[in-house]
Amino acid sequence: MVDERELVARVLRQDYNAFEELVNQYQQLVLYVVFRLAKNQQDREDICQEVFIKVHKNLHRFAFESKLSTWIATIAYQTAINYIKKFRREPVPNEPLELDSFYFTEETPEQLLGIQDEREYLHQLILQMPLHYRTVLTLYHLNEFSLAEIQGITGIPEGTLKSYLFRARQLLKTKLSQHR
Amino acid sequence: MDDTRDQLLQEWLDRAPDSPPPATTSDEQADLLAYQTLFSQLETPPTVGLPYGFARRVRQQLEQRAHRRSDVRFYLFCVGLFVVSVLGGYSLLVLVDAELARQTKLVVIQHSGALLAGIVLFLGIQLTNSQWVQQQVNAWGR
Repeated sequence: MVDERELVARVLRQDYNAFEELVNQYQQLVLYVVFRLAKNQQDREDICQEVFIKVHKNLHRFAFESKLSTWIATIAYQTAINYIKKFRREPVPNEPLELDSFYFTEETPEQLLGIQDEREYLHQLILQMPLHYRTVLTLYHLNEFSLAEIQGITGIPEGTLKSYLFRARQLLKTKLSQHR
Repeated sequence: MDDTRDQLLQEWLDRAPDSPPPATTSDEQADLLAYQTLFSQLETPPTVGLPYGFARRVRQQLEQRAHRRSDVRFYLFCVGLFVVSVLGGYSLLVLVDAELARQTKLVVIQHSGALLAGIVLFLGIQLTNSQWVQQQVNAWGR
C-alpha cells in the first residue's frame, strides 16, 4: 500500500509518475461513484477524466482532514452532479417528498422476457431510481463508505441518507421478489 | 410492505450480524433471504470499467496543459522582451541623436502594420510548430 502523504507530496512536486500512480490507485473508486450517476459509458469516462484533472489542480488544498479517498469521492460526486445538470441528462431532485412518491412502473411481459440476468435487472432498476437513491446505494454498498462519510461527500444529512437507503432497498427487495 | 420488519432485517444485515436473525416465521425468513441476496448483488462490482491506459491518458492530458501554459508564458515573455528592447533602443537613440530618433519613430509608425504582422507571424509559427510536435508525440505514445 502506497503511503498517501508521500504520494500527495510527490504529485505536488509535479511528479507525473506519482500522479499516474494516484490515478491507477483511485480510478476504481471514482468509477464506482460515477457508475450509477451517469448512465452512459462515454459520459462516465469523461467525468472520471475531469475528476482526476480537478484532483491534480486542487491537491494543494487537501489538508489530510479526511481520507484521500473521501476527498476524491467528494470531487467525483460533485463533478458527476454538475455534469448531469450541465447537459440536462435528468432532473436533480431537491425535495424529499418527490423521492417518497417514487415507485417502479410495471414492466410489460415482453420486457420481462428480455431480462435474463437478475444482476442486470437490478442494475436497470437502480438506474430508474431517483438520483439520491442511486447515490446512497452506490456509495454505501459498492464504495463501502459509512453514512457519516457519505454525508461528507454529498452534504445530505445522515438521517436523510439513512431513510433514502432504507426506502431504496425496500423498493428493490419488493420489486425483485415480484420478479422471481 | 411491512416497514418495521424490513427495518429490523436491514439493520441486522448492516451490522454484519453475530446475533441470531430477527426472522422466525416463513414470511420473515423469505424476506431475510431476499434482503441477503439483494445486499450481495449490491456489493458486486460492475462489469464495465475504464479503458486500459486510462491513467496514462489523463497524465498526457495534464502534461499537454502544462506545456501549453509554459508556451504561453514564453510567448508573452518574447513579446515583452521585444517591446522593452524597442523602447530601450529608442531611448538610447534619443540620448545620442534626437533627430535620428524622431525620424526612426516616424518610420516605425509608418510601418507599424508590418511590424505587428511580423509579431503575429512569429507567434503563429511558434504555436503551429508546438502543436505539430505535440501531435507527433501523441502519435508515438499510442
